[in-house]
Amino acid sequence: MPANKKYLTTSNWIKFSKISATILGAMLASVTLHLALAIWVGFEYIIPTSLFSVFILWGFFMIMVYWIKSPWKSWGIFLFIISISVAGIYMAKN
Amino acid sequence: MKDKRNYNVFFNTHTVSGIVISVGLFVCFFAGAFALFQTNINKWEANAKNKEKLTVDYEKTLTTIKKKGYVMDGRTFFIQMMDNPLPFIMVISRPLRAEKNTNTQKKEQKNYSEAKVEANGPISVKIDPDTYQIVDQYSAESTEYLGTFLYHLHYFDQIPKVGLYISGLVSLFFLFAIITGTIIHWKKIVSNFFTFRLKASIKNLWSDAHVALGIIGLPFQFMYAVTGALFGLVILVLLPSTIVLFGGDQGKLLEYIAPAYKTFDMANETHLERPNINQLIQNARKELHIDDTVLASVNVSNYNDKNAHIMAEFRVKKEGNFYDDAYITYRLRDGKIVEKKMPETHPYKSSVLHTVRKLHFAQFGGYLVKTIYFLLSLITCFVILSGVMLWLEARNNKMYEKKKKFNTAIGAIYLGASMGLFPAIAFFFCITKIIPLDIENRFGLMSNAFFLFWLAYTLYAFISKDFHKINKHALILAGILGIAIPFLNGLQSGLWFWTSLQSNYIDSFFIDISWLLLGVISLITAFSVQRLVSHKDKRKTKNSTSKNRNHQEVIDTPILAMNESISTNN
Repeated sequence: MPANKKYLTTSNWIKFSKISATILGAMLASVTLHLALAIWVGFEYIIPTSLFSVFILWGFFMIMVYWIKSPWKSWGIFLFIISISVAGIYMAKN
Repeated sequence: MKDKRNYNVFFNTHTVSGIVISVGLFVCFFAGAFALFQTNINKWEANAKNKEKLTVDYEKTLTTIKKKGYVMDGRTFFIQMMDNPLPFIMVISRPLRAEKNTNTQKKEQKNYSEAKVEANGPISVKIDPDTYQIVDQYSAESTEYLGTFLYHLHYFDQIPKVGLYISGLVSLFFLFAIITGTIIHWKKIVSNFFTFRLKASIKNLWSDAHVALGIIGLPFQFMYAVTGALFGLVILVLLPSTIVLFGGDQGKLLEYIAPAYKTFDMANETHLERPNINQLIQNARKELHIDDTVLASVNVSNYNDKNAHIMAEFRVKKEGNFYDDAYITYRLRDGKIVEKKMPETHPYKSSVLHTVRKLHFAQFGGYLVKTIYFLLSLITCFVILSGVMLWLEARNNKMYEKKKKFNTAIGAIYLGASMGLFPAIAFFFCITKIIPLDIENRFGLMSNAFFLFWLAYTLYAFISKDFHKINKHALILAGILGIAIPFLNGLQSGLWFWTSLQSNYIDSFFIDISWLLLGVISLITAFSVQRLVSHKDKRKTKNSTSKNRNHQEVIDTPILAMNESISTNN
């Protein structure tokens, strides 16, 4: 019944990278994406929705980290989302 | 290949995240299940009735606050009548920004030099609705009551500062565990739901129960995972939005999540002339068609400023109406209506937070929904514990022989801390009715006793390491203490459960009867459960006996025979 070790990573670096991606990366990606959406689409619907959707999206990002095999790929996706959102916010503000 | 990899990876993450959060999550759901009835528990403890008609004199309330020595100008007051467990008026106000009111501050401090209050500081007081005296200067919450204690326990508020955030993270990992769990079982979700192998191995028993009950509770658990994460980690939404979108002004953000409580800019011009607030609240009732029995939550913003506003919010108690809030905002200087929301209309932005709160606190559908929530919470507790048992049982083989001692110890502590919470809560209910009322620091003593009881049970579990006994003894203890609760209540207050309903002590009756039922069910369960014996152990005992006896004689009971046939088939 315990998961077959053959499919699990043994590298501590990969473990650390995945755990940090699930907590930090996923959180930042989810929050910045919501902020950017609020600016692009409008506050009226995005802000109230973000109250719960931030956490649902965070949860799904966490799943994604473990679904994608390479930890660098998932960090790459998060950094891409974060930078696009931050750039969007920055451009809208200036 | 890819499929197998995903299955195993998600299986592992499900196991790890589940084991890490298990006890914390158990406390959330178990204490939370009781916290659904926190007002009832508080009223039961204080032997209080529901007050029929409560009225607030807002002018008198504000005068009381002013007399206490607080700076009034520019403050925002939240005033609400609470009936928990006894009626009191709650007044809350955030601290004033110091630079704005340096002049008035000096003046006021001269006038009230004796008063030991921070004139610009935060206000959180309880006021007696009969005498309009301040009852509790430091807290507007009923902290020293059992129901509120359990409510705080369910988000680990007893851990200073970080408790709430820990509970939020536990909730978030719960969400993760729910999703991974569903992914693992996705392919066999239907067939597994209808499988319950009582007589196969112990591992199968736990896994079937874990899967079936997990799926039954899935929508409920998903809702709690998301709303729990929201309440625990809401700062992660509020803080970035406030800073990035509103330049640091949190009042502006409120307009989008709780529009009734949005802030208005100060005119920085004193304006003392205004209509009577009590009259305005009466007008609000007429305007929104709300009768006098519904209590108002009143928010006065920018007090004594030219741009002062007053908002009155009501929760209409209507049958079959989920969205029941209505509010109206007046400009205070002339009583002009600025904003109005009838109970029939529900714009999106004011409904989201409202919905989340109603779902999380089961504030709809009355006792029926709360009871269903209670049962679903207990089911969730069972899913958590069966997960732990499954984890242990899967490691109860030769491969994990080296770690066996460690795993068993972990299992015993987890089970002891989880199951021990039940008798500990029953124990707390008992001692609230035993310890005399006039003892100093009574509540502190009682809560320490509660934690000690809980710790002692965990220690007992750690020492005994016999899961069957840990479980059974917790249920027996909780059963005995639970049945004692209504009688201790009767002895202390004279409110016996066979008379309390007639004399309109609804909460006293409700809690007594519920504990009587819970206690009886616990005892029945405790005495009817049988020890789970694995095939390996059965074979061991069989081998030792068959040395002397004929092999056929040993398999005389039908259950053993059935087990025998299943294990040979496998």
